[in-house]
Amino acid sequence: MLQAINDRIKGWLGGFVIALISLPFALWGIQSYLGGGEAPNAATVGDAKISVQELDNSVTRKKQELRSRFGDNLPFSDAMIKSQVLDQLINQKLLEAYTRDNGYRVSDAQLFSNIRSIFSQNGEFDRATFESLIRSRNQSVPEFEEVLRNDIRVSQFSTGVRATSFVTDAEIEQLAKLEAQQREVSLLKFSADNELATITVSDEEIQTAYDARPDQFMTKEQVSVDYIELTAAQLAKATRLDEQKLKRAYDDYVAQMSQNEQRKASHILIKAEPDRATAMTKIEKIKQALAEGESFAALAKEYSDDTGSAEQGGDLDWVEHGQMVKPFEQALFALKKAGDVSDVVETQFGLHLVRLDDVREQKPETFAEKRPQLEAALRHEAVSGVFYDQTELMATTSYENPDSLDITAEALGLPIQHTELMTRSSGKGIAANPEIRKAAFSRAVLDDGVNSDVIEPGPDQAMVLRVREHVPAQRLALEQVRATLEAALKREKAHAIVLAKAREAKAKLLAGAKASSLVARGVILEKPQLLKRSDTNKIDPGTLRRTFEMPKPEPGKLSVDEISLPNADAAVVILTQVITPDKVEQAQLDTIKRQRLSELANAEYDAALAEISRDYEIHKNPRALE
Amino acid sequence: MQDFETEEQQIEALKKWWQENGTSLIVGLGLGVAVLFGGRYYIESQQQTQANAGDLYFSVADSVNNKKEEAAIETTDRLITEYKTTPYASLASLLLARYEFELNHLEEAGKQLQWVVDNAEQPELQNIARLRLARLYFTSKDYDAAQKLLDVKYATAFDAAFEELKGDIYVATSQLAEARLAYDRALAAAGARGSNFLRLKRQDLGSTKVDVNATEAVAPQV
Repeated sequence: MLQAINDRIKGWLGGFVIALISLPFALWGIQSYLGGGEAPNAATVGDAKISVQELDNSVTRKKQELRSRFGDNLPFSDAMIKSQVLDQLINQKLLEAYTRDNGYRVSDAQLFSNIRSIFSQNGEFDRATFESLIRSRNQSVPEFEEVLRNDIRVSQFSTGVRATSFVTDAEIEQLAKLEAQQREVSLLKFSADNELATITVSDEEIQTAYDARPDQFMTKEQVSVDYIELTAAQLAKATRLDEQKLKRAYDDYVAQMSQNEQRKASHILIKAEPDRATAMTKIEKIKQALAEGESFAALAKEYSDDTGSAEQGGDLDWVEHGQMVKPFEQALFALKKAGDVSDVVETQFGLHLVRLDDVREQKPETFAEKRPQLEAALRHEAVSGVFYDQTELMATTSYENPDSLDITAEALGLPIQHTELMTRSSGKGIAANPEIRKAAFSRAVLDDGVNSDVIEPGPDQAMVLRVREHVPAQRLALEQVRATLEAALKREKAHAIVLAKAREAKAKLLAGAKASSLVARGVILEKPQLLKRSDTNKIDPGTLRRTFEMPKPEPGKLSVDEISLPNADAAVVILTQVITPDKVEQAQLDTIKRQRLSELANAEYDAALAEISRDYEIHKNPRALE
Repeated sequence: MQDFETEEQQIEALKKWWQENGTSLIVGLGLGVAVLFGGRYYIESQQQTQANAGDLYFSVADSVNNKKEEAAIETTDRLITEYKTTPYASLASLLLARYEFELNHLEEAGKQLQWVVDNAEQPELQNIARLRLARLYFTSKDYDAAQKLLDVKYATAFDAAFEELKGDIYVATSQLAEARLAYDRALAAAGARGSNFLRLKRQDLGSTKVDVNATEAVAPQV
């Protein structure tokens, strides 16, 4: 039967059937080749993935951007940056999916006009830049177009929402007046110090307070470490330099310097097109005239076909190697001294006479002068490979022998050193470096008691460490904290007393008593002051805030409230009047309009984004944020 | 499968099977291919429609940028009538609404926003239009209309924005107790991202107090 099938399978139908059957077998499993194995993801959004690699790249870019704005000491932690960047990537993927699923589409015409506007130079499409960008991104043209389409769709949505918000002038005026509001208050202050003398605290109370705060009065956890330090500088000292290599480096340097020579040149150009012979006669005549002492500048002005330089008497200004076409350059750099004129030189532009006007030489330093610099560079070069190898050796040896540094020290021929005790937040010597403290307090070192990973706390510096001594956080004994605790309890009691007094005074004021009649020992009435919302330097922020939260006084009445002050004092805040300005300056209105508009636009956009995100499954990989 | 004695018999059986089922097999295959291509055609024509709408939207944006009101209105109308199901109809309407607002054509702006409220296929665009329309009514002191617009079911994501505007309406209509509640709900929904202006508005109504100094005043320091 198989024979029969084989016999009859010839002909196009048979071929077709065979092809149909074999296709699934041929392609089976191909996705695992195309996918290249699963890399870990930082997050998934619907069916889109954000790889750890992608996240790391974006974090690096973000950091560069932040550094250029804030300098090297960033006011944000790495974790903050990472989590923020991940959220941005998630939003991007989310909107890519949303716009794809909701009928957003970019036509080819739109796409191309976009590409043209990105890569245009002097109104022309700049193909070279376009292609070099795509190459640098390691993308194919269709891939790049797909990315761009996504970006355009996403920005259609985001600007479509953000840039269409509006605010009314009436609202802005209302907000501006609200912000410019001023309030007049006076404080009736009750001093806690005045009460302290009469307050006693019993031993029992102290004991109770100590027991009631089991988490307080702790010393900080401390640790000291043994470590091995490898630096490129150590290795450099040990390296011997080959005198011959040094000489060669110097020769290279001299050659480089002569390449840097600049020459000031003038020229006269006679176009060889269409008739070379006439041109040749003409330029020979000019050469003759020059020989007879006529001025080069005048001749250039009269005859040169390079109209730009002809105006300047043929002057081309300073010329470096590689700037001019080859024959021109050779002729120019072959001239001996200023004033010399070359023979006729032929280039693609025509026939030239070239005159050397000046030479700007950079004199190479002598070998002796240059030596230290060359030595340092050669050492560095020689050492960097060794340093890398030694770091590798440090990593493998300390990893394979995790319970001691001895073997690693021996392998590297380096001593084991040790630090003093450090806390998580501060340390002396090398422990002043936060990288090192982080490693010292890492789980592997502290809990598992093994060698740390190799860390590189500085450039050309590698280190491995292990715990030497660990002092866990301890609670201080009652006797050690008794004085502090007693003082605190006294203040607490005093505060309760003055706050009660303030409350009492408030009641009296509401009943019609005059504030001045309440002044007594330990009680003062401050003069009324007019406060703006921004006056944090005139009054403590808590009181300022309360001032603006109090109900406005009704006509003829007081608005009063009691409040705690930062130093355990208390006060009654007496709000006497609220002043709303009639008019706000235009500049202020403009500022508020900008703020409010961007606030509204962002709020609407964020709300829309939150609503959209409910339609997609979003998973963050918590380990990607570590 | 039954056993056949000779190859001729096998061939006979195959021929018979083909005569019985051949036609339906070919018809089935043909149908499958037709559905496949039909589907492709449908998707492609839909994509073409979307791309056309996208181009029109760009031209609306262009008209607005170049302050050509009539052209903007005309193109938006076209999007609304011919490309109603694409998101670009709504986006164009939102854009035109802002432009009309800037020209102080409040009624026209309102019309555009109302269209999005009634027709947008994406609830998030609807909610945004609803908010803006209510704000427009609020400006023209039509508080009832504004309130009615906000009195619908909407995604919790929009809580903060809706409640803040409700608070504004309550203040304008002197219902201060309700205003406090609405602002409080808005603040709660916005969380840390809450707006400074919202806080100002809430404070101005007299806050429930939190004594920020009380806890710090006496905490013992080591």
